[in-house]
Amino acid sequence: MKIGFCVEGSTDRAFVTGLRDRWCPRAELVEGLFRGSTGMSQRRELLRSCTALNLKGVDAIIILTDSNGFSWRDIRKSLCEQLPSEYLHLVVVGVPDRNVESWICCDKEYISRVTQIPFESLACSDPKDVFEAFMEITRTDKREREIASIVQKAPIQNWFTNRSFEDFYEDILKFSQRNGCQIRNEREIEI
Amino acid sequence: MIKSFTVDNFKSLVNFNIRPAGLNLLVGNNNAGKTNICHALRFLGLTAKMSVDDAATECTAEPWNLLNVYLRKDTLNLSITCDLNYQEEAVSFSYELTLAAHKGLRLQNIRTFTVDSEILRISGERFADVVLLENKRGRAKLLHEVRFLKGHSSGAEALYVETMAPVDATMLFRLFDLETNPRSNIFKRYLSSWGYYNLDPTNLRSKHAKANDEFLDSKGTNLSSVLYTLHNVKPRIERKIIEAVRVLEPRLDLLSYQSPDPDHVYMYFEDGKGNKFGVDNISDGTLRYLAICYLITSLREQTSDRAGSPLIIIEEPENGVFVHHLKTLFGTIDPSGKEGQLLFTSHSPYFIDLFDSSLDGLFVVKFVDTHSLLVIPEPSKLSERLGKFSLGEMHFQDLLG
Repeated sequence: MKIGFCVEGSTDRAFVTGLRDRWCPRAELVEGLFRGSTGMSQRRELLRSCTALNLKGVDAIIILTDSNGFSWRDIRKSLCEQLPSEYLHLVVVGVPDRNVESWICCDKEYISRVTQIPFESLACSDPKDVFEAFMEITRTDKREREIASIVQKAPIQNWFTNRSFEDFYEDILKFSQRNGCQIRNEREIEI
Repeated sequence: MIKSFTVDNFKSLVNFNIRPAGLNLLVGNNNAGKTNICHALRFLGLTAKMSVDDAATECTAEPWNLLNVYLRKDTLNLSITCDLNYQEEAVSFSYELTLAAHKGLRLQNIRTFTVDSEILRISGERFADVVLLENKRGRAKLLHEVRFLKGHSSGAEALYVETMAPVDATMLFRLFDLETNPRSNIFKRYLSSWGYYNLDPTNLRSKHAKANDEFLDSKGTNLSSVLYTLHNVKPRIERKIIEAVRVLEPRLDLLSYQSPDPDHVYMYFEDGKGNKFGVDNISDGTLRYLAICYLITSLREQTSDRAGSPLIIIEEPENGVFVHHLKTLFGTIDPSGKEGQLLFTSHSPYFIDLFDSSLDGLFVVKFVDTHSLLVIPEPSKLSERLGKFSLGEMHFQDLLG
């Protein structure tokens, strides 16, 4: 199976890799490329990225984009409206309520344990800075492998407290059921 | 014009074949082997005008690294087929050269090369795959073309002249330009005319002149001197080059020169009011553009003088040049190759975009395990995708092959 994905940055890429390792370890990930480096560029070039991924023969396309404090529901809705109907059946859109770090840090207890971030430091509206600082993410070392591993092993059922992640997960679950995949239902797993 | 080029055991090129069109572009990731293809062509061209070791040194600066490191084979094979004209007669040549590498002849681990064998064949209206020249480990035979065409083949007037050949150079390099072998010499001159250019602005600013400044050297170190020669010998071509550069630098009225001694030439850009700007005050991109305009314009002129259109290889011509100007320059090139066969390498999506009407000359080079692989994108597939992506965008999206 080939999974295409289109993301803004390295943490988003690591997030998708972690989910792939967790649910679909044999799938090949193919990154959709776009000119520019911002979320605005990503959204502008979305159609091209999807077309390119489709030509590369992917079975699914995951799109992750930050909402950065704007309404994640509005961004998600406008993204879905932008997508041409021929790709809709392939695409799963994820828009975190702020950024992907806000999903990763949903379970404060788990993140605090695996990254040594003090629990109280995670009690903020945007955990991106503190997460990057404790993960020692720098311009040259994005720690993608470590972040992917954190996502792969995370107790995801605890992430359902985050509404934007819950929507993303529901869409992935529906997509997998529609396409006969075997991703596990995280809600049924006991902690 | 080159129809086919095959090379085996040259750097990353193992049993590698390319069939270039008139206008060609090599694209691929870094270290995929694009430059190795250019160097292999250049190396073959140089063996027709210098010894094999000198050609290896001139071509790569590291002759001991000429062979594929994984293959562990001590022979290097190069072969080419090309179509040329001899006195209005269309002829096709095929040339095969096998070199043997010897370790430690001079210094430990430093390879030197000897000619193992070479063979030059000709086909055409009056020749049916006839051997013009054959050299096997120092014993060579050359066709007496006049006798062949007259149909003579008796004892004293044998068709082939046998001779000893040097082992450190090709017989083609040592060939005398005689009335008895004009076609072999046409081929030799054709190979010798190939040019490889990796233009560096620092070199383009050099004021040093060389003894033979008829042609630009591969790094462009004699640009001022070459243009000065052109100014004195063919001012009409110099004028054409100035007009081409004016697209990029509208203030340029003429190029003026000072040559205080035979070893130096100082070139100036002069505007309509007589203000002079030395090459040190000209931008890198403008100088590169001037050199490329020179190459393309003089290539066209050379073609009319020669038996065939020469091959010109230019690495990354887009460097430092505003992309729109490249399109203007590109528009002056004849893609059929009749005015010269061109081979470019590039990473720039904007430059790659310009090849959307020359898809048969587009080649993608990839490196796989131990060697380079040539991927030829299917033109029909590309044409279909051009409705959605530009060619450069396809390269960026890794959709070319």
